Amino acid sequence: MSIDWGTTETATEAQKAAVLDQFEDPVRTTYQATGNSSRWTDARYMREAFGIPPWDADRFDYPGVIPNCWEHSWEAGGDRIAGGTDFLARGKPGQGKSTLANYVAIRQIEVNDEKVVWRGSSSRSEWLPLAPWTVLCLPEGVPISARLESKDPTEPAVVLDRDELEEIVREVRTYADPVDLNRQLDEGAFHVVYPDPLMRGCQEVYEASPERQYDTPPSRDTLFDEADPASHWWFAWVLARVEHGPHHWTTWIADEIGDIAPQSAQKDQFGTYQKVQLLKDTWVDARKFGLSIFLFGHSEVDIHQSVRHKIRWRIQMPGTSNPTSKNDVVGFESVPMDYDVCSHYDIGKALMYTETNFEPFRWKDIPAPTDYKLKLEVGQ
Amino acid sequence: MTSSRAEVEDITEIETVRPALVTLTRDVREMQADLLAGFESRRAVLEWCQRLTVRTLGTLGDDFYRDLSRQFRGNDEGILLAALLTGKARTRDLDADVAHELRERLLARRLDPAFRTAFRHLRKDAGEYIDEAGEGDAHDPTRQNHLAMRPSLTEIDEYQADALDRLLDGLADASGILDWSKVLVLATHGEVERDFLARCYLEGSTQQLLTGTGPVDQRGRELFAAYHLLPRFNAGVRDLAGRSGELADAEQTTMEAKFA
Repeated sequence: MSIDWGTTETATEAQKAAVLDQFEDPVRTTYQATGNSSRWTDARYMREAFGIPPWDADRFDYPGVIPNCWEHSWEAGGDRIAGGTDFLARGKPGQGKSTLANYVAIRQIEVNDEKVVWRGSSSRSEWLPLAPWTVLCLPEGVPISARLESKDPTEPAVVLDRDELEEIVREVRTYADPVDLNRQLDEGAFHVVYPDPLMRGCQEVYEASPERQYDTPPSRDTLFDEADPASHWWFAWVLARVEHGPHHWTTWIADEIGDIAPQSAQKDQFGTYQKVQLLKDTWVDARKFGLSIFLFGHSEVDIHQSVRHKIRWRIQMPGTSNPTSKNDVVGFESVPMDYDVCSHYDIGKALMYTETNFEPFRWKDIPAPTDYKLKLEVGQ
Repeated sequence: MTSSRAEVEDITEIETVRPALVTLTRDVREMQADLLAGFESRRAVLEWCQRLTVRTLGTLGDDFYRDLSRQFRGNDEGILLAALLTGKARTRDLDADVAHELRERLLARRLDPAFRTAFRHLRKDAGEYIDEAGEGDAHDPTRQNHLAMRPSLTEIDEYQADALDRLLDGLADASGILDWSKVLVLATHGEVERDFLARCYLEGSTQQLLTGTGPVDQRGRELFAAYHLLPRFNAGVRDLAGRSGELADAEQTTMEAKFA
């Protein structure tokens, strides 16, 4: 017996045009888009669009906290460390994590001319406020299904074909494997990358680093396999970026990190635990090769503790108490806060801290022009 | 306007021993009368606001001027600005009674409390003078040339009027911006960011706005004056009048965390 699923109602051409109209037009006039250096940069354009004041490290009392994390340099000195940085931002849903992620992306592009890589996922599209400047990177040769879905689920969904995606984003690119993707990233630009569900090239990247050896999952010959959850592609991508470059400043923004490397990772048939160890072992090299990793999650246990040990900055989002004891933060020998200051912050203000200092900061709202979400499924 | 002037004279008939307070009150009444009469141009509004910063001793928050600056945006003026302008000067359609009521409300809600605060600030160190009556009385309020009998306030008032005038007339060229900045530092009593001049000079669009001759640049300069100069003028007067500590605290609560 088979179930009659019926047919899902989709939008008419007229409705589709109306929905696409709600999106801002892609920006193709900047330096990054044209190569003409007399044009505004993407960062400048984004800052103007959202009213973000220019970066000024002197605004802060503790150069070791926010300026040290934001400003990347190959030379250490004073309060500054060399190489890439990292942070874990924790907070309940609705406290502005995704907005902060967009804001941080703009800052990184502005401050370091970073190649920003946003982790795309089929169920989420929190990057849409930056869609006009987005270079969307999809795996080549696999079918793509793209739908715009209203916040109101009774509204019909809008089905887009590949070309129509360029009515929302600046450019759609395809990549063959993680190494190929890294060669296609542009400096000072914002990329949203959807992982390759076929894991092409991942095992080869892993095997090209013979000093990294992990148990192969039972009943298979390789660590990476087509059967793995698509999110496992990211472990191979981080490795590919560290081992094979190019080593320009790169920021990986991973919203909802709990989907990838949670505390509960097991030695399962996909080798999740082994891959978390791989990420942990790559972390130190990531710093040396200019890869910054900015993670966002609901709580500490959204990310496995062996990775947590490596994260040097934390951000406590508003609405939740900041930790006041080192026992609350894995990998910190001490916590500088004696009291809860964070739980009654309003949205738009959060606390960043290291082992030695803490400093509150604000960020600007980065609103999306429309309520529609983009649901982009790769390989189905 | 004439009736207000008459009242001003009434007060001065009482022989005062604390002329600074009377001088301030007289100036304030002139400001109020000007407001209620309405302004002939957007420029007149800006000039009035400039005088306001000194005559309130900076006690009107900087946000008052920032909020007002929004009124200068766009093709038509904002509704409050329209109400401040006389019927001929405004581009919006606004009933004369409504405009008059808005001016009175502005006076009651924002200006009067600020004047009162200024008065209370001054009263604690207003000197008493019992001079020989007659021609030689140097403390007769009607003979006072200085604002609240404080020469330094008169001085900053003159610098501000000069800085505003030069800006609204348009600066001659890029070098003119550098000259202008010298007055600006005095007019703001130093309450201007370190890189303010650099940005005026180096940013192409700002330079164009400050030196351009077209009507668009003229309009832009009015907005520039409202947004950038008036709040800084106000902060400068506050600092000069020795109030910088008190008001800065109020700002601290909203500005405490910086943009990351």
